[in-house]
Amino acid sequence: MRAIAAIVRGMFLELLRKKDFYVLFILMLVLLGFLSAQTFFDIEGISRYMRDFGYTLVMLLSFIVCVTFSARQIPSEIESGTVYPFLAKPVSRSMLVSGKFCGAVMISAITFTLYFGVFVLFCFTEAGRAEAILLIQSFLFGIMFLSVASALTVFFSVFLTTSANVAITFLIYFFMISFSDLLRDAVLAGKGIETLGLGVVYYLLPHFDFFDLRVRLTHAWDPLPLWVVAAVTAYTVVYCAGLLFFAGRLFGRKKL
Amino acid sequence: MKRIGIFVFVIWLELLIVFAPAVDAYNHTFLTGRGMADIPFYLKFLGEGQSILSAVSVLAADRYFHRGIGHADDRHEHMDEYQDRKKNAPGANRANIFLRIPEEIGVTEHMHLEQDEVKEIIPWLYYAVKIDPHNVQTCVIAAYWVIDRLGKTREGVNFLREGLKNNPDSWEINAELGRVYFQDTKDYDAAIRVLLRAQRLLAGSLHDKFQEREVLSFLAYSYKALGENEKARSVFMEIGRLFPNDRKMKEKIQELS
Repeated sequence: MRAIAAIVRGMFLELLRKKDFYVLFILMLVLLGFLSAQTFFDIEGISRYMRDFGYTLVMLLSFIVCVTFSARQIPSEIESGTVYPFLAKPVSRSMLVSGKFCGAVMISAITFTLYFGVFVLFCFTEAGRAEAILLIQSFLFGIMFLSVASALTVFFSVFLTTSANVAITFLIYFFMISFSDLLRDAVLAGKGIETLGLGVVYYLLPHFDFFDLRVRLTHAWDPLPLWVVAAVTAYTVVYCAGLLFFAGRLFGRKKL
Repeated sequence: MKRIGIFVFVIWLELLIVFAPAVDAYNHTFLTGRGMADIPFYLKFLGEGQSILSAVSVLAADRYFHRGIGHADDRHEHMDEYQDRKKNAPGANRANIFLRIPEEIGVTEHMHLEQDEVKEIIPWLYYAVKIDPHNVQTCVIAAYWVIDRLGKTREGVNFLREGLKNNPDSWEINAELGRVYFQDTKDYDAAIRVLLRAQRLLAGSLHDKFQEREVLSFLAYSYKALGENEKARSVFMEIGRLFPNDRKMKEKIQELS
């Protein structure tokens, strides 16, 4: 545990040193400020488009920080040779992968909390009770979304270069956000071997769409039922654990 | 070598000073002649893509009107009907939580925004027109919501006037302005002016007789409101010719005789 804590601490300090986090934060402030300054025909109280843009922005910017940060962890350690002192200590390769994952989740959670806080300040100055529950659910889902993204990026970073990792993770993200419904329909409509093939793809790909509460939050729908929150949490835990297990195994076999 | 470099740089700079203003002046004259000089740079950058973006913005307005739920396909099936159909699909296994999660997370109930809430669609309609100033239908729809549903007559009229500036040959905007002048501001002279223009433009474009009837009706009532009964009667007669079986129109014509 001490080794993991040391890795996490190192990643946190790296986050503070890097400019990406601050640049994206300022960008978000500027965009939200610009949107909130917009007026339409002198009509007061128009807020949903702000929530829509704001939530999308929070998720996207946190995702960018998470992926770009997590993707370079293991390759840069190998390139610079700093991985050897680590492994010389009683730190197993699986533990290094787990440490990198925990660090990635922590920095993503810090980033997301800050961005989400700004979003709430801009868009939810007068939230009702139902909206407060939905906001908590959105926050929780955001953290889980970033955990899956971190696990996926750390998994890819074991055998891909940083740029390839970032590109593939972004492609998977946009594919799942845009086409997971179509994939699901194809699984339901398919027959025989076709269903099997599509089903494998459907179940293996990370379901980033599970964490997207944008429409619900924007249009003030009711909060999610508890069983859905529990199911998505279980999915996140199982998916992350699986990816980390395989990442550890692959990294263990990798020649350094 | 260094001298040659400086020489080439000086020549390049001089050519730039000579040609750049000439190209800029030509561009400005070209765009002004086509009413495009005032278009913001991002719209010039978008090119023809602006009409697509504008249409996307209108679709977003429609989705907002249905509280975030779009139409499932071209048949305009609502999402709740679509989800019901999917739930009953042969491959759908209700015990499979994994397949049910997206259904629960995505909202499916068919609802419309009500009363004051409809203001939430306005930004999308506004941007649709800003992105593509020639999107006449959206300009008229936006004005309808702003004036009739949200009571912002002055702002709506200004919006329509701006639309008219960008689309002077649009009978739709002229007709809408006429309707607003007649119904809301009671400025019958202005209503007659724009409705006559709408009638003239309408004659030169594809339309159906119901659209023509709407323009003529407001025109006739505007004349009537100003006490110009003879002109009102002749316009009612034009409507009568469009709808020969309309008894009420015959009564109106007789009333004004």
